Amino acid sequence: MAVRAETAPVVAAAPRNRAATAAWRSLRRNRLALTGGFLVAIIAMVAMLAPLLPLNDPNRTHPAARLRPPSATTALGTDQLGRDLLSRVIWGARVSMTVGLGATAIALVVGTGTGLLAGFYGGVVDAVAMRAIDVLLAFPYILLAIALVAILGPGLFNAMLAVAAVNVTFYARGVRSAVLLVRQSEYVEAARAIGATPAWTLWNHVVPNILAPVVVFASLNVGWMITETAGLSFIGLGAQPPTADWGTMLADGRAFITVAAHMAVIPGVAIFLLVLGLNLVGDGLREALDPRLR
Amino acid sequence: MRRYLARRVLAAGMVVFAVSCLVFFVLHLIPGDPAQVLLGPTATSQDLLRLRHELGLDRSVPVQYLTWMAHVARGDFGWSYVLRRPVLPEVAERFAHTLILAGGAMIIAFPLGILLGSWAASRRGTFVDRLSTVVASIGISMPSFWVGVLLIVLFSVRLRWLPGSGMYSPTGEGGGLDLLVHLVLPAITLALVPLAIITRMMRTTLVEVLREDYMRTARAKGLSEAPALMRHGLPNAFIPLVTLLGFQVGQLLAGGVYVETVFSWPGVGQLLVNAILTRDIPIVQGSILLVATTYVIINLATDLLYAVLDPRLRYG
Repeated sequence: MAVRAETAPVVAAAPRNRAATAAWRSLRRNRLALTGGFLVAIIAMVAMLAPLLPLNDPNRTHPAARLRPPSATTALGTDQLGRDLLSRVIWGARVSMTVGLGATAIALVVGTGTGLLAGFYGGVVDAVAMRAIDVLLAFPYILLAIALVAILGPGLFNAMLAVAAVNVTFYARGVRSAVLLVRQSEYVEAARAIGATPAWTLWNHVVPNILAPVVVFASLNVGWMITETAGLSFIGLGAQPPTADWGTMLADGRAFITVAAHMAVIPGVAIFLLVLGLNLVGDGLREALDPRLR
Repeated sequence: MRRYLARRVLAAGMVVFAVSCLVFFVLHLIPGDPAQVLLGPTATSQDLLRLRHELGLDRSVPVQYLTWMAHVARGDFGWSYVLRRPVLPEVAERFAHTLILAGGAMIIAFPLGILLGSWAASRRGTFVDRLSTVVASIGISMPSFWVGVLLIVLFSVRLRWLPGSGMYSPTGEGGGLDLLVHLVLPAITLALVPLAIITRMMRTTLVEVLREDYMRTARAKGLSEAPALMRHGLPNAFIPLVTLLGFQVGQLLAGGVYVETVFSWPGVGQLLVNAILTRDIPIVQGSILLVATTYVIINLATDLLYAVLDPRLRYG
């Protein structure tokens, strides 16, 4: 997903409860966002219920039934080892969703923390953090993720860490500029005047006021994380066989594209639907939480 | 303006220096011993010691870094462990292939994105506008490696119209036309995401520009919509687009790695990934340094172009 600098968090401070009600109303009326939410909910539910569903073992090979196209017996066909693609796609959803949410959570916590400290305390902390981020931003983000995997070694967990690390820079930058604005506001000054400690002010006045844009950015970011991690798996740097991962499945399918096109098409459809759903929800949230877009 | 320029060039130089440090230390962070990789599992400990000495791996890290930088400054990036040839010509050749691919994608994405975005903005709120938003959402959500697969299935496997692999036909004589035919599908694949982003950005910017006072003035003095847009609207809408242009060009260089893998396009991304998988560290360093430096230069050029286009920056 290409949610980058141009949609980085901006401050949208407003009285919280009224704003939340208005945002919820705007989100409920947004048909695209509802469709996206529905898509994500269905995929998440199926993924969570995977162990309870009557599915074949995603890793059981069946050489006699290899490269079968979708049919009545195998709904989505089989791969080059005769493994059931329906089962692998559903189990793959668990991998993708875990990786997407995990990477977003890491980037969100580390990036927001860095941005908060840099923006609120300024001085040396700010200078060091921002120069480090400048250097990281000198790499195209995919190159940076690949370089990090080169250091950490190929694997799904390392790919997730690399994708998260790349995104830390975007959260840190966005949060820092939001904090710089909030820091100058009268309520922060008032808190300081009544003798509140910096840490208390940061937690009770700064954090709640930068939360909305961070949530929007994160919601648009999950899809990108999923695509990028699948991409790393696709080029062989992420999930390793026999993990049922959408990126790896697509790479297997690429090798058999002339004889069994379904093998490459199906995992791609899965990635596309999940990411589209997430992006539609994210766009809806952005419109709902940014009063200027409403 | 001159001070701004000097400051930006200096900052870019420092970033390149920091990137070179990072790239060099990758060598020391990547697990595995380069001497072991070169000599294979049957090497004796004496052979390993000798090779480590020859490669300078037994010296202190700062000394190794300075030696490496001195060589890099002379264009010597070392030898590939796996390909057994100098790094620079290999990386340069692959990088040229990546530039061809990225160039093809740009030629598709930019004019088309500007056109579609302007069209949607001038018909704000209509069916065309909503359709462009939905199409852009879909474009952004489709992973390039999957789009590539779909195009290959349709145009190469089923219809047999266009080749879906490589830069030239293995049987043909090569040449410009052969290259162009091979370029069509990967370039379209790589263009999709920037196309969607540019369309969205162009629409948003232009919608704001159309509401500006100077546009109302232009209309008030009798200009019809099209000339007003051409003379006053587009030049102002182009300014944020320039930043995006620099960013996207840089991303295309590295983002090509997925498309290169799908279409077996022999670019620098594919070279880098293979080098990581085979622990060919000199190639890893050479390709990362080259792509990152190019990216820094593109960003610098974008900033300077921005200063030329936006007078507020020039005199500020």
